[in-house]
Amino acid sequence: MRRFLTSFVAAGALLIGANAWAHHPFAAEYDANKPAHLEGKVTKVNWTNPHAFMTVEGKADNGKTERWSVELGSPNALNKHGWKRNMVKAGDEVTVKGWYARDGKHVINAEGVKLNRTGRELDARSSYHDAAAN
Amino acid sequence: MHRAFFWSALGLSVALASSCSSSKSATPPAPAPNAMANTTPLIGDMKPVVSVKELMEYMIDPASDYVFDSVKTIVQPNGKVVEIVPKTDDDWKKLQVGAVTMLEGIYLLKVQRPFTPAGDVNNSVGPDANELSPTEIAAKVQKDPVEWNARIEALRNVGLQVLEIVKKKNTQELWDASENLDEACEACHRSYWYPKEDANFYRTLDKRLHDAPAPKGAFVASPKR
Repeated sequence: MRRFLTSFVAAGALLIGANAWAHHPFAAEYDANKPAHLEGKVTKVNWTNPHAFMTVEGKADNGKTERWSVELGSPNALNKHGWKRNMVKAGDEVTVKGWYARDGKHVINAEGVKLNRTGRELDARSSYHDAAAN
Repeated sequence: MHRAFFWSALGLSVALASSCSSSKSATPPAPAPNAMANTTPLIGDMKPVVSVKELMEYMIDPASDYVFDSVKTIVQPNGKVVEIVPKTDDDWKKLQVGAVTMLEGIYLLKVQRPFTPAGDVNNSVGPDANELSPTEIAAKVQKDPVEWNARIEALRNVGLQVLEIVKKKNTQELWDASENLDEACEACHRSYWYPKEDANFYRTLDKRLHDAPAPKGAFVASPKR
C-alpha cells in the first residue's frame, strides 16, 4: 500500500512538475498571447506551495479530450479568493480560463475556474498577481 | 563595456552590502571563541563557483522543495483525500536536510558572484522581455544594497523558522512556514528578477483574457479590476 502511494505521488509529481523552478515569472512559463480555455473533469487536486495544481481531463481549444495540468495560485491566495479544500472534488466538471504554456506542454496557468455544477466562478490567480495589481 | 560595468557594479554593491551587514574594522578581528556565534569573520577567502541564478537553481530552489513538498493535501482521482505531512523520523530528517541546505545557501547570496552565467542575460531582450538583465540587477543592488541584504535576512528568518519547526515536529506550523517561504522568495524575485510583471502587466493580461473570443457557450472570467 505504501509503495502504491509512493508511486502514485511520484507519478503525480512528474505530471505536475512542469515547472523546473518552484518560483518563476509568468512570462517564463506561459504565453501572454495564448489565452486558454479548457472544459473537463477534475481528476486530481494538489494543494501545495508555492502553487496548487489541478489535473483536468477535458477539451481545450483544439477540441480533443486530453489531460491538462492547471496551475493555480498558492493555497493561501486561493483561500483568500474563497476556495475551500473540499470545494473541488475529483469528478467535478470545471471550466478553466487562463494561459497556455510557452513550451507546448499540457499546462495552463489558470486565471479563473468555474465549477459547472454550481456555476460558481473562482479566482485562481496568485497572491503576487493581486499584489502587483493593487 | 557592459561586462566591465557589471563587475564594477557587483564589486561596489558587495562592498556596500558588507558595510551594512557587518562592522568591519581596519585591524583583523580577534578569533571568535565560537564561530557559530560570530557571523562576521571568515577563516579564509570565499570563491564562488556559480552565479546567483545557478545558486538558486542548483541549491536554494531544490532545498526549498523539501519544505514545499513536505506538506500538502491531495485529492486523488478516486476522491480520497490524502494529507501529506512528515510522519517518521526519516521524514523529519529529510526536511532538516533541506532546511539546513537552504538556510546556509541563503547567506551565500552575500558572496560576490555574477548574477547569471556568462552570456545569460535573462529574458531581458525581445518583445516579451519581462526580466531584468544581470546588468540591471547589479545596478539595482548597487543603488540600494540594504534592500538586497534585508531580503536575504527575511528569507533566512523563514529558514530559521523551519528549523525550529523541525525540532518541534509541528506540521501545522510547517504549513504556515511554507507559505512564509513562498512569500519571501516571491517578494525578492518580484523586486530583482521580474519587476516588470507589475500592475500594468496583469491588467493587460486580464483585459486580453476577457476580450479573447471564447468558444460557443464558454465561460468567460469576470474582469476583477
